[in-house]
Amino acid sequence: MSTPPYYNIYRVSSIGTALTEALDELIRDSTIPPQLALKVVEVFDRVMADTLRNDVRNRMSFKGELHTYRGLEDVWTFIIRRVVFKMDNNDVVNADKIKIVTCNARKAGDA
Amino acid sequence: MSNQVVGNIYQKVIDAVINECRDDFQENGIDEMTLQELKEGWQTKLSSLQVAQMPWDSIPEPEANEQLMYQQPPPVGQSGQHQPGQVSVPGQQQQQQQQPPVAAPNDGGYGGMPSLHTPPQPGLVLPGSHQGGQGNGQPGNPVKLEQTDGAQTVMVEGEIVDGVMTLKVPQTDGAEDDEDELNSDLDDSSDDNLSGNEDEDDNHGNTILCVYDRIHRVKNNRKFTFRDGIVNVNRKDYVFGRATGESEW
Repeated sequence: MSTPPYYNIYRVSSIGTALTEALDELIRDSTIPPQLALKVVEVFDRVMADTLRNDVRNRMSFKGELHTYRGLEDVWTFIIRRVVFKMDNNDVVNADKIKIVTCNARKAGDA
Repeated sequence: MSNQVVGNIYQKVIDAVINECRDDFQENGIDEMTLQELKEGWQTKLSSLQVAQMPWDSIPEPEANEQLMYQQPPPVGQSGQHQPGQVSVPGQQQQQQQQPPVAAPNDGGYGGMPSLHTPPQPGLVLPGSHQGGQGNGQPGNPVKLEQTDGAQTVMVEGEIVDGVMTLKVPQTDGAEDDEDELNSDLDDSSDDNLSGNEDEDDNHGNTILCVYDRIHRVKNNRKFTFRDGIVNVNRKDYVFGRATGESEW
């Protein structure tokens, strides 16, 4: 395995779903073939990961009650309840529940 | 603060993806207009989610602005700033409202293509019309998610349902048995439950999507060291380069 594939976890983000919806419309109208849409999404996987890694510097922290977890190979999912986020400007954001989907950084498309 | 970064990051991603796909579009015989149409559709849909202020939406109140500026030409039938042929396409009026303001600031200078933000798509579906009503940047939608205290915000989830997927309401109170959750959660299908069954198009309610450097457990405590994350909390997006977390089971 030469270059590990990029994870597709970001596809379910808001920017990812907005992309797939826009692509779906083009497919529905037969404006583009589905294979091309898939290609676009794969480009998105890579660009999103690289942009986050290279261009985002800020930090945050969170604390909460672990509700559910499961791990399969290098992909973990956690449900955490009563979460308190602290942003790097000291803003505090609360949420009743948050779902975390996270993949092993060491396999994430490091060229 | 992180929220303010989001729009710029998203803009950067969109521009890069669109640029990197240009060759693939050409190889498939798909013209530049369609590529721009994809970009605009992408931006419009993202804006409609209202997860952050997007750089391509210059004005906080885009609705009023759109209507003032762009709703007038179509009825009159002047194709002055529109592409020939577009006026005759039925069902595009609404789209025109949304596209120009989205596209105008960003579309200059693509490979010699005139940056007409009026792709000739026949009957492109109204942005947002199929995703359950959160489209159109309706000002009514801003579901008042009070991020109050750590206490339950269960009702919030009900409110968002029409627009965005959310967490499954039944799981939100403390009545659930943790062990049940653990067992029943092992199959993939439960993912849908967590993010809302009704709306498979939108799965980004209250999530952290990231990679991890370390997940460390000591007794009932877990410590997380995350990187490269997109967070959606209470319908707002945040990004982080690094994050640490702690949770007790």
